[in-house]
Amino acid sequence: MKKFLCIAWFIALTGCNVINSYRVTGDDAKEPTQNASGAYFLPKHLVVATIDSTGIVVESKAVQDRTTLLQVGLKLSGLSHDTITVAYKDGLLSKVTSIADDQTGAVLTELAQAAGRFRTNINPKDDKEIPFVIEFDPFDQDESEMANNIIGNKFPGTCVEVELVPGSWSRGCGPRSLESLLVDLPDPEELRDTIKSVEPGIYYKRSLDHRVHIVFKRKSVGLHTLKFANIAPVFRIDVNRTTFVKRKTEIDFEDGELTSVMVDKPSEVLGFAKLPVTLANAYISGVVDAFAQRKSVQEARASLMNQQAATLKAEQSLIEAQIAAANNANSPQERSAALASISRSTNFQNGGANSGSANRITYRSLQNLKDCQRVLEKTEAQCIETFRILNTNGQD
Amino acid sequence: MLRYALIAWALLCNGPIAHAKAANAGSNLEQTNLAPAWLNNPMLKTSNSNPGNEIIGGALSNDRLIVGIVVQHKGKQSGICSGLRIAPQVVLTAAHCFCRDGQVTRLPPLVTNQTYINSRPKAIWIEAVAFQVFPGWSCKRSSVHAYDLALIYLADSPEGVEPLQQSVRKVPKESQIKLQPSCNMFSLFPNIRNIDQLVSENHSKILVSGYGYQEKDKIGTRNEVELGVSSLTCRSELASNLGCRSFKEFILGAGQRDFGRRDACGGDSGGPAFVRDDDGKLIPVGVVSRGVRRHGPFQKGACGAGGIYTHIGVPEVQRWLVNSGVRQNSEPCLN
Repeated sequence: MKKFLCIAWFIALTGCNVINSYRVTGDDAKEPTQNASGAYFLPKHLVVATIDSTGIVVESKAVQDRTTLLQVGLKLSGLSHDTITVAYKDGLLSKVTSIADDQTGAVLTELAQAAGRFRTNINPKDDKEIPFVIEFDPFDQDESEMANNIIGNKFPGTCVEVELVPGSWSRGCGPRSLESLLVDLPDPEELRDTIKSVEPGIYYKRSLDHRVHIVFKRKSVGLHTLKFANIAPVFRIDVNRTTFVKRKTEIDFEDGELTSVMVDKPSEVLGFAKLPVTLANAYISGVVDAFAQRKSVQEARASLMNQQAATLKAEQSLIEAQIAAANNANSPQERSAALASISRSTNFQNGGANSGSANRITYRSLQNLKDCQRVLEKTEAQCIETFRILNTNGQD
Repeated sequence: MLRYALIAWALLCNGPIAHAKAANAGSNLEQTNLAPAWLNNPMLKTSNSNPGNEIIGGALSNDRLIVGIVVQHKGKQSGICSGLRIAPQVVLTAAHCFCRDGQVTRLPPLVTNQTYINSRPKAIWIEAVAFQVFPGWSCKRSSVHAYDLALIYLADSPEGVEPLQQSVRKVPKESQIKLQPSCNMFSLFPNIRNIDQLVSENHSKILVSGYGYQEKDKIGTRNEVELGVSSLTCRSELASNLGCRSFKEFILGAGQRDFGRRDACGGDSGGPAFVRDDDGKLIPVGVVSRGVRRHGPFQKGACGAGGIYTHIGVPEVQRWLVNSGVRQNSEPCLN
C-alpha cells in the first residue's frame, strides 16, 4: 500500500508545474516544498524627457513595478532530470530555461519588439549646455502633473503627455492637451491589471503602445507611439513538466517583457508555431501644424491599432503553438496536461483546445462578469442570464 | 473632413480594429462615395462651427418635471445644467455640474421649470437650499467608482410659475396633472427601471431632455429628443474604449442612425434619460453625463457623436436615493 502511495506521489509530481510564482507577502504563501530561486517584479515604464534649449528627446524606460514582488519557486522532481535556470536583470525576469532529454526538431515563436525611442527635434545640441533630464510615471496623474510643472518652469510652454486610454491623456499639458473628454478621466489605478491570485507559472507583461504628445515651446512638435507596460494585462506562461520539461524550453524576457519562446518539439508543427510578428514602426516625423496634427492623430491611431493587433496576434500564435503541442501529445495524460496549460497560459484569452469563437471566453467577458456581479449585486448565474437576454436581444 | 467623418463613423460602428482599416481605406471610400448622404450635409456641432449647445435634432419639451439649473460659483452664474424633479422638492442631476476649478462648488444652484431660460434675472428661479453629489465623487480625480449624480433640495416646489406650453411634441396630459401644486407627495422612485427591466423590455430608443443653450450664454430651451440605444450595459470593448463604464453607464446616440443628427450636448448635462409607459408616465432610466470620447473632427466641445448616461436603476444608486430622502412610494396626485 505504501509503495502505491509513493508511486502516486511521484506521478503527481511529474505532471505538476515545475516553475511557479508566489507573492513574497500576502495570502499566496510559498509552499514549503518549493525551492526558492529568486524574486522578480513585473515591469512598468517611465517617461524620460531630455530637454535643452534646442529640443526635446522623449523615450520610455522599463523599471520595476514594486506593487507586486513575485518569488520564483521550483518544484523539482525525483523522477525527472530537470535542469532549470532562471536569470534576472535589474529585478526583472531575463531568462527561464529548462532542458530535458527529448530534443527533436525546433520550433521558434518569434515575438518582435518594436524599438521605442525617437527624437522630436533633430537640432544639434549645444555641447556647452547640460540637458535637463526628468523621469516620471505618466500613469500616475499627480506625478505626471508635477513633472510637467517642473518642465514648464524650466522650459515654458513645454510638456509631455501620454494617452492613457484612447482619448484620455495624462495630466500636465493643460490647454495644450489633446484631451478630448469633457469631464472625466479614468483612474489609471483602476486600469492597471493586477494579479488577483497567484497561480503556477511565470508572469510577465507585454507593453502596449501609447501615443505620446510632445509640446515644445508652445508648439506641438511630435505625436509618437511608445511602449508602456504600466496598465498592460498580466500574462502567465504555465511551465509544467509535461508540456515543457520533456523538451527544451527557453523563454526570454527583455525588460521583464516576453520576447521569445523556444520549444523543441516535432517539426510537423513548425508551420503553426513559427509566426514571426513584425511590429510596425509608428515613428511620425516632423513638426505638425494645427491642421496636419489632426491627420497625424488619425495616422498614429491607425498605426497604434495595427501594432496592438499584431501584439495580440503574437499572443495568439503562442497559444496556437501550445494547441499544436497538445495535438501532438503522446498520451491522453500529456494531452490533458497540455490543454490545461493552454487554458491557463494567459489571462487574456482562455480558449482551451477549441480555438473556435463559440467557446471562447475572453478577458473582456470575465471582466464583464465581475462588473455585473459587483455593480448589479448579482450572482454569477444571474449575470449569465442577463448576458443571455442581452445577446438574444442583440444588445451590448 | 469627409474622410475624418468616415473614420469616426467606422470607429463607432466597427470597433477599433476596423477603425484602423478604415483609416487606411479612407481615400477609397471617399472616391467611391459610399458615405451616407447625411454625412455630406453634416449637422455635427463643434465648438468651431456652432456655438449652440442645445439638444441636437430635438423639439420643445412640455414636461415640467424636467428643470433647468444654474450653477453658481463665487457669487456668479457659472453654467447651466438640467435635472429631473424626482420628488416635489428634490432634483436629480449630474455631479459634474457642480465642478468648478477642480472642486465641488459650495453655493447652492438655482432651479427653474420654465420652458425658456432667458437669463438669470428674467427667469423665475427657485433657490436650492442644499445639494449633494454622489458619495466618493471627486472633480479632480477620476471618479471611476462614483456615479456622476447629484441631488438638489429646493426651498419650494416650482409649480405654477408658468402656463403650460403648447409643445411641438405630444406629451400626455397625465404627466402634467401629476405636477399640480396640490401634489406634494409624488416620487418618481417607484418608476425607475432597473437594468434587468430595461434589458427585458429591450428598448431601442430612449428619450433625453435638457436645457442646452441655443446661443452661447443667451437662451436655454427645454428640448427633448429620442435617441437610439447604442449600448445598454457597455459590455463591449468598443463601448469601453468610448469611455463608458460597464453596467454603471450606457451610451445613446452613438450609432449610425443618430450620428450627427441627434444627441444631447453641453447644457443638457444632468437631464434625464427616460421612457414613457403606455399611460404617458415618465420612467427615468438615466442621467446625461458626458459625450463619448472624440477623436479627429470631434474635438472638445463637439456634440453629435453620442453620449454617455449614468444608470440610475442599479442597487447602489437606488440605496443612495432612498437614503437621501427620496420617497420609495408615491402618493396618488391626480386630483
